[in-house]
Amino acid sequence: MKRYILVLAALTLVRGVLYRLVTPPWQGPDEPGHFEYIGFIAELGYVPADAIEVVPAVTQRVTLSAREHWYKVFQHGWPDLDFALTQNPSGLAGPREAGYQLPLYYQLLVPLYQFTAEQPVLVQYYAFSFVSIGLALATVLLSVYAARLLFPDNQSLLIAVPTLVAFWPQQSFIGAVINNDNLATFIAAWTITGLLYLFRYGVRWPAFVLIVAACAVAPFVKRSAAFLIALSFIAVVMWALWRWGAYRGWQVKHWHWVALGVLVPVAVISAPAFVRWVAPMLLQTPMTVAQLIGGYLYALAYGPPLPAELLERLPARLLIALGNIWSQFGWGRPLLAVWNYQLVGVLAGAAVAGLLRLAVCAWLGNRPMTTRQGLSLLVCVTGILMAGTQSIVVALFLPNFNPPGRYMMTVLIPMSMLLVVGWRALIPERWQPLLPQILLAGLILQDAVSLSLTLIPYFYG
Amino acid sequence: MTTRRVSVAIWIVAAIAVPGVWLWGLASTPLVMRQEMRSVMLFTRPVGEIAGAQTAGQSFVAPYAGLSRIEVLLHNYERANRGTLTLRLREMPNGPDLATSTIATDGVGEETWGMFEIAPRADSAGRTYYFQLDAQETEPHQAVTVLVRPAIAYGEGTAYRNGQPLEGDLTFRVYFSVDVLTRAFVLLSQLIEDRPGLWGHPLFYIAVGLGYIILIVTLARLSIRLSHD
Repeated sequence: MKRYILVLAALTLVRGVLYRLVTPPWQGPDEPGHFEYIGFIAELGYVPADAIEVVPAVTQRVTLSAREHWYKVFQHGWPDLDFALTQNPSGLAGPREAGYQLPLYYQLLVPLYQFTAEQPVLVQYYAFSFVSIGLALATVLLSVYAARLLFPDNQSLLIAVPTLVAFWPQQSFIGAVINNDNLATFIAAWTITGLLYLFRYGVRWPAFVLIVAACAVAPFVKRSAAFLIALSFIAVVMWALWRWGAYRGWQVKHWHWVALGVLVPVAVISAPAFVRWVAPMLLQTPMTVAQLIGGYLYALAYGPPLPAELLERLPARLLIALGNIWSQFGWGRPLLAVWNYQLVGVLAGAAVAGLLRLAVCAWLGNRPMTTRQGLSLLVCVTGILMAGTQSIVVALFLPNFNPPGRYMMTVLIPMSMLLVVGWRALIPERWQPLLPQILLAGLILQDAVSLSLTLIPYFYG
Repeated sequence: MTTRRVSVAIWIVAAIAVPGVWLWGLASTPLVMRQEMRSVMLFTRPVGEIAGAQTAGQSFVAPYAGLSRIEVLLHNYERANRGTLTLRLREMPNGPDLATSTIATDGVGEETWGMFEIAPRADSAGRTYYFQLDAQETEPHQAVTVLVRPAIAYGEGTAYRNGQPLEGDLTFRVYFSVDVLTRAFVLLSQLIEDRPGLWGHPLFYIAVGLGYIILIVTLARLSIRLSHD
């Protein structure tokens, strides 16, 4: 088992380098802006308050390098870089992150920027990429520990969960380029592991330190990590209810009541939006379930009823958003073939069916897992719903904007756990030990598809 | 059927499928002359109708053997057009046709890549070519045009209008048919192009690739062993 984890860790590093080698410089999402932000903080000595406070020399270095390295090949939509370089101060090759993104990721990279200050810009660029690869490795190692906390005696799950985390295509790509999502993913993995530790061992100092520190750091990492504070709060309340109930002698075999305790307040809070905006629309327009849910969430997020045009496009956009969670490389243009997303969709559906089977078993009193495990998985589900609502649903309603799947990498460990548990629930016990092998073989094949049929043809074809 | 047999079957399928996908991907990745792509589509203008005696052309140097397709960015003047457009490949503007290819223009939109396929030219590496676009049978006001980039210098060729050199270059792409091994070598040269230090050294890429294969195989073997423990 230890050797497997060691090899998986080594492979994570090598795959990170491989994805970095295949992806040309500046082709990660918003990479020029991320690099520029680090440079601004290093040169100014403080975090710039807004995007106007620029250091022209840094911007020019980035734009010159971007122009040299085929940046324009893939970026038809951005202003011409020759023109950008004639501006005073020079325009940036892509959206500016300074003054917009939270600063912690960039501040952490400032020492590395200063250490490599005398080197060519691409040497600095690749040095930052190695930090991303390191964060991806740390996320995989945390997933190993998280799986051990949840399924200490189940070897197939102990292998399968970190394997899926390591090979997840979206994470493989974004984990090799410069992006603050990598820190958000790591902090989220850290938080989830802390919560699972709490459910396994109770209040001990590692859980306390992990959770409190993660909640303290999350507000400075990225907005997509903000949900971690609320998730931690809900999880701690769930844990306290469970332990208090056990202390009072309750038999919490129907742990779904705890879930209802969370869901009912959410329903009460959101009911007015439904009554005010969605219900009248429902009476007038025939709607699909996806449109109904979308309209409801839009009303929650924005208030007024969802415009008819957006409503019509919603099911298609929802499918794109879900597909993006599996993989959305580069600036969103190089995507896998449609059959690949369809296959993953079917497999995800199978996992959901497996989880429902487990839930029904639990409901009927035939407990497929311990209360602790059930509650831990419920925390995972809650985390996915919260991250999805915060990052994907709101973006879903922005016209001409495909919700980036990388925002959901904050719940990579919960998603991997639930998928693996769901699949396992559908496999007869005799065949269950084969699950890690089937998964690994499939993911190696997926890697070949991602690299040789998608990224290489896009960037070099 | 035992789990061990299923396990063997899984890895036999994987051992065939994974290299197969890599080879398929490599073989199907087009080899394109990339120089022209250093421009943005935004900074183009129509060269003028291509109909009757009106022609447009471009000279270029083919970097690889197997020249097999030329694509030109066409524009329809925001109207429905009828007719055909012929590409003539030559060695020089007034030379004989080495190959011709004709496409229908009724499907051309505001920015459509017109694809002209020709028989692969095995000796194209390093040779200078010229292609001319004409539409002798097409009536004026029913013809399409090609987009030219006045501000971008291709450097190894010149655009032509009615046989006369023109400022800028046509927006074009040139494709080459090569075997998988050649494609792999070209890919390696594309990967290391303009990269600093270690990142620009082919041995580094080969080492990473080998490391990847060794670790994948080791991981597969360990997963088999752990499953049967």
